[in-house]
Amino acid sequence: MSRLTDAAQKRLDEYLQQVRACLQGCETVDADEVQRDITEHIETELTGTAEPVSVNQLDDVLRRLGSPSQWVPPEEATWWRKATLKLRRDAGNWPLAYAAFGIFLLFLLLYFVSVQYGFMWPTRFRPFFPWGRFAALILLLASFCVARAALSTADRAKELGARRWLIYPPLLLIYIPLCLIIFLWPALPPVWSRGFLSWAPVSARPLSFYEPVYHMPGQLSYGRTISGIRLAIELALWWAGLSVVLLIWPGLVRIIFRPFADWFNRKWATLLLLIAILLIIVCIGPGRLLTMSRGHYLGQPFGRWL
Amino acid sequence: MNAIRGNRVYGYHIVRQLRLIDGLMIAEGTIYPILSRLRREGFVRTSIKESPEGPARKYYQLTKRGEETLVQMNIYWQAIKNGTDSIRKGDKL
Repeated sequence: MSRLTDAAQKRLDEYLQQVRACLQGCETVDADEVQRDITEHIETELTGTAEPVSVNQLDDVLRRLGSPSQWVPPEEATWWRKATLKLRRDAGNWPLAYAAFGIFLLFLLLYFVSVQYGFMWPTRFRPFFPWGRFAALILLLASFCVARAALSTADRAKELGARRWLIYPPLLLIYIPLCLIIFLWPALPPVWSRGFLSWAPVSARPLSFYEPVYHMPGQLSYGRTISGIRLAIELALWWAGLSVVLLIWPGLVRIIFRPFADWFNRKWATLLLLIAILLIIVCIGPGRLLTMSRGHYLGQPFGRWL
Repeated sequence: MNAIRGNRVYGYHIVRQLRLIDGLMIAEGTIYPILSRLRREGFVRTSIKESPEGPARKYYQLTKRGEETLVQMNIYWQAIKNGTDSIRKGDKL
């Protein structure tokens, strides 16, 4: 046999192991004979290849050979046997998916018991609620990590099969806020603070919460317009910076949001950059006009912002 | 079976021959189970020989029954091909 790198040897062992798992229960096929056929084929195919053979070179040969399940004669198994074999073959990948979902269920339980419906518990249990929140957060992070580990057992999202329904919930619960934070973070603090302050008692609100009204009925206020434009420009600048980073490392998005962003490439980063530039151009014109006119009003002819 | 006809060939040689056929989309690993099935059904016999170029090779050769079946299959295939060619050209069958 040609000398293989450690990674290639591991890959070959996995393939042979999967073939053997597929052939379990087949009476007419000798697994040893099939393994001999496979190794003979690979050996002949790799003749003349520089040693040690890399995992990529071996993968090319294995890809042409096809999936391990095709070594099972189709006439061999009844439908229930096929189903059993499939379960047994996939069994190695399922425990992680089950673990991820189990921890996620624990998180949901703890969250609703200690956070959402905490007020229903007797007073003496209330001191434990902050710990419940902390534990719920830890459980969510743990289920996310296990889900990512389960995800790493599949090369493509398609290979996950039904496991995706167990893996996706914890992933999405982390990915969605993370996506909002990464792409919209300049917009989040004002939204959060405003949302928070609108619930705060009137006496606790800062004066800036009540912006002065310099507009006619039906028009946007000066303060709100300028804040909006300023926010849009901050957002556009952030997107421009982000798109430059993603143009250099487009794989970042694919890695962070795997498997939902496998489609992301430099084309999308370029599109984000173009949107950012367009947004800056659109905002700077009216922004400058507004600040200059307001600047005149305040005795600052060149505006106080741009 | 036509790839084996008249010769004693090893599995990889058959795979290489089939690779040359344009448009034949087949995973190479499916050839070996087919050969194995042909052997089980008595159309092919195998023998293992040492090779100077690498590992021992398993050679396949048609049995008498395999040769007879192949002749019949080729006749059948030719009839189907003639029929489809006629339809394609617009001739009446």
